[in-house]
Amino acid sequence: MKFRDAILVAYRGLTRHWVRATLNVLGIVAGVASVIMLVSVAHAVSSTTKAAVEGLGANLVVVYPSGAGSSGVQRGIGTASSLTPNDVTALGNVANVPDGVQAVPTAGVSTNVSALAHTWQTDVIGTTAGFGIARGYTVSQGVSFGPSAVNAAQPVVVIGQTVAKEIFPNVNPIGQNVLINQQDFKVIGEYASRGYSGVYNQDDLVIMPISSLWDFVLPSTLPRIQQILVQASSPSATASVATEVTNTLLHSHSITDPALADFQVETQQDLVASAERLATVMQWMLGVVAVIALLTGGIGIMSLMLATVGERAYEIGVRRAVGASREDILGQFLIEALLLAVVGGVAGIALGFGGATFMGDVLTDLPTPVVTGIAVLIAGLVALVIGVGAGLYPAVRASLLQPVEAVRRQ
Amino acid sequence: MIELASVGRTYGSASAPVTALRDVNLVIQRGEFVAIVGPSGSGKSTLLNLIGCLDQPSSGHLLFLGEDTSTLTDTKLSRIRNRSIGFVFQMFNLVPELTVYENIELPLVYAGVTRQRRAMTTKVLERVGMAHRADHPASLLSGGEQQRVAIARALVNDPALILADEPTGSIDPASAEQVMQLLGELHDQARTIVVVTHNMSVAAVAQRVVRIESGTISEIGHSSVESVTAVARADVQSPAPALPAAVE
Repeated sequence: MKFRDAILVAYRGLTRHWVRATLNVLGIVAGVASVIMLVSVAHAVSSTTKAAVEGLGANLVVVYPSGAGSSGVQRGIGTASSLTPNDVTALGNVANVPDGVQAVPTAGVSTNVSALAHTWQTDVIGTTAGFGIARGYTVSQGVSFGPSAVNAAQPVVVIGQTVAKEIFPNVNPIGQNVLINQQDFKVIGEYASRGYSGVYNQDDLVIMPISSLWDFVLPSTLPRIQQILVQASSPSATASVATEVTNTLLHSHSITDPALADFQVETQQDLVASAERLATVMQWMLGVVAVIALLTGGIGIMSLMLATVGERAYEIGVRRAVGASREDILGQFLIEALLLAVVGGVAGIALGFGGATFMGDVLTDLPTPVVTGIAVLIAGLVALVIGVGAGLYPAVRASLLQPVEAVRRQ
Repeated sequence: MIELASVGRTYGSASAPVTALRDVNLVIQRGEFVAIVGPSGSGKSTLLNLIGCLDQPSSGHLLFLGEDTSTLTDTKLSRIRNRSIGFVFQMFNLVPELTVYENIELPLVYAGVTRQRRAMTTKVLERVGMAHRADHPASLLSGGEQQRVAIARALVNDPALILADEPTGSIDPASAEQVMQLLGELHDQARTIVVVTHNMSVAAVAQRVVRIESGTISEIGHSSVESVTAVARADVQSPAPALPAAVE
């Protein structure tokens, strides 16, 4: 039997039973499309998570307050205010942290900022003059505040591009006043746009001296520092900076057992690593879901093909009687399965592309899914393997029918 | 051409075997026209399926052109069915979803014939007078037409042996006459013909009549008027309940 004839026989076999063939193809299409969509989403989420962490700034070591309370129960990040302005001074001292460049405290609150007729809710962050350098912001217009403004708790702010657009759509914000917690602040500068880091809009913020935040925005709570950003001299120095920071704080807080530390130190690498771990776990999870979808499709194909063998025993017998060998019958059923897998795979890839694009357009909160070549390749291969795998058993069953049995079964 | 030496065929499990044929010895010469007759369930069709390499003996040996079929692989047996044997069944056994043309060319497809396929198919299609129905689905034809298509399919590879299992059993008398005329013509072209039948007028066309009863050959005779009448009489008289369980 010529190969071309084998393909034609299989093709005619499928078109004669087109309802069954269509159902088979749909099973594979659904499987392949879901693999592509799920992997695309997972890929997008993991890359944006990583980008968000990296967007924190260069060479940073971040210190959080935490605490082992008297009960010994560790409280979560940010619940205690064990970090003090003295700690900031100590960590900024080259004698204590030789590999560090500067230490910058931050505290923040999400609140309304308004001017003229416009109100916008944003992150209001209190900090010191080194914030821009530590986090990688540059002033595009006006000036930032210096140490004297922090010492004097001056009511001045530097705003991000998003805030500028939202509350000063038609006016140059520099020199204007904004109202935060019923207190007027003067806009002295505007940060250059940084764009998005993952889902996080880096231009949606207002910066002011940390003393001004304590005095005017959060007057009723105790002054507290939520983070101290310690900038290392280079990316490779972050690990030694982390050690130096830990030792300095243990000493100044008079803590001998590091397990009882009332603070946590994380390097940017730690954050990136944990973000990557999270992303990997998610990719595996979605991958398993997708494989289950494909397996379900494969089992459907197998049961349909098996039913086919029973129904087509007569046809198989006739073909055997006129000279088809076992290999011919095996080949016919395998090629039928292969054709289904190829058609389903191609349609599934197309649907996966479409679905991923559609998800990106409709679910704007979700990072735009990225269809990678490797995802397409994997989905296609899996469709092929499952299509042929599911077709194999029925094909063997068909080829093992005795010709006389098959003819008799009409 | 074909030689059966104490061939037996048993179906079913070892604990409850059903014997369809036992100790059959038969030689069919090249160019013969043989009719196999006998009551239903006597093993006629089983014998024909063995001769046609659709089935294998449980005991004894079957030589096809001098080769013991039990030693041949499935591929070899398939090739014999494909090149050397043409089957005509009582129920035609066409693939209903395929067209008349596609049914007839099936043996050529499995033989790997490509260039001459159309010419060969068209030739036998015309020979059985079905050229005008070439693109009709086989399932839409009448019984007589389907049997002519089946004969065309049996002929398309120009086999030396034609096996027919009750070829006139499911068709009207006029078509039956056409079918028998075709078989006669094929015999005249030096083909070997083996027909299984109940029908005495069919058996009368044959040169030799082999009678089977309860799985064994009871009589081999020339197709004289007497022996045919004897067969016919025996056929009518054989009491059905006395037969072993029907194996068909």
